[in-house]
Amino acid sequence: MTIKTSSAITVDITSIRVTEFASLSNLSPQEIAELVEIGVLIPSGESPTDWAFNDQTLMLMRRLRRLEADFELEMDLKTLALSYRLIERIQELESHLHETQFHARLSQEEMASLKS
Amino acid sequence: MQFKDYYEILGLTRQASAGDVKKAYRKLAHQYHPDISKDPKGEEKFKEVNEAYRTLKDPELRKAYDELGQHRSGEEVRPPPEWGSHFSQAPGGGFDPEDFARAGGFEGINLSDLFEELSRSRGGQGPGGSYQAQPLKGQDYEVAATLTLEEAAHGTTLDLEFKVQGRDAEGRPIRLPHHFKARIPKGVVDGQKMRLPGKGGKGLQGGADGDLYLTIRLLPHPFLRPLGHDLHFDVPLTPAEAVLGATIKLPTLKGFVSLTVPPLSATGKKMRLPLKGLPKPKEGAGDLIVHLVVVIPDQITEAERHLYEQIQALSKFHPRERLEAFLHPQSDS
Repeated sequence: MTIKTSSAITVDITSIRVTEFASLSNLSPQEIAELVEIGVLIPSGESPTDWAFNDQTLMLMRRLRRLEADFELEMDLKTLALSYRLIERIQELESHLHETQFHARLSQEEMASLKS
Repeated sequence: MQFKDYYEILGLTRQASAGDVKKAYRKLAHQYHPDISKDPKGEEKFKEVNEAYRTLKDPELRKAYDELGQHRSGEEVRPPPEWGSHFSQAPGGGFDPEDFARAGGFEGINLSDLFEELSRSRGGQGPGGSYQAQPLKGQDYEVAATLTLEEAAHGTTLDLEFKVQGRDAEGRPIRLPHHFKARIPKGVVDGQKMRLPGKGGKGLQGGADGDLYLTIRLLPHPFLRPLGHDLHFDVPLTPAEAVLGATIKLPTLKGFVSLTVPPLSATGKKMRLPLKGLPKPKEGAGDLIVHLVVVIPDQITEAERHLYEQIQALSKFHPRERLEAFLHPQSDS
């Protein structure tokens, strides 16, 4: 038995409305407002009811929630905010490292192939 | 059903206390948790460790596990008759070993799925933290998809296949292959995360289906390096082209472009070709950024050597002028 869909589904690069974001990341609207206020979460949209977040933000928050569950932690909002920033910083550095290594490796390969 | 030695996975003996179980789990979680471990096999190992812990930390589940007896990992086992029946007596309990026997027994059943079922069946909190009486949301999954640069630029259809938790016709927990096609729009970048609502595991008791989280990874391209929507391109030039200037033809993702390199262009010079990078999702595109690299041949002919000697004799170019001060320091004393 296989779960199968015959036609292809279209994946959209969309934004997630604040209410959906709250339920997916297990945060209350008040907690989201506080995280926005201190600048940890940066929504699009003007008023709190129009706020929307992207998939990157959601996945980072879920990663944090996973760590919280797997390490049996109980994070208050301050701990959550700081951990979010730290993980975000690690991701930025990792992607920077990835790009730098990628560029260096390709340049060397290219030089070698040009000479051969 | 294949046996897994949960005690061995946690590095414990069967006599280990509840405290020992917790301590062993914490240590291994710090070692292998995929969000913090550098071990390439961390995720796989952590899954096992987590599965073992979720059963052994719960006194009832641990008792049921112990009742399976001691076996080697991978060995086919069959639970003894009446095994797990006390779970069905709990309020809201739904696990019935007889049902399993009638439905074809424990063959093809995954040990972790069985314990999750057992835990859920007693109407209490399952290892996943859910109640049976309530609708249960399907599991969320994270999958990485690898795309070529061309696929990212033009959009593509991915064939996604992975296994999710589900039920067979008799309601037994099994792993179901989940197979579907997903159209990825143009303009995704390396590391892009995308959520596919409802494309994870099936919900239970009327619960919503889980979600699938997709991470896009781009394969290295022979000469183009993406950085967001910009594409970087190291373009080699001969010494003569670098000095005299040249018009060169470059391959891009959308056919060839002509690039005019001005005379006296050194290695490291960057030239930006607007909108020749990766297309953006709605409109517009990144730029193509050309990095010029002057290269020299491995071998030259006698005639070429002669000409280079003439240039050397003629040229007033002195690129190490600023180094002179270091090579011949003038004494102040």
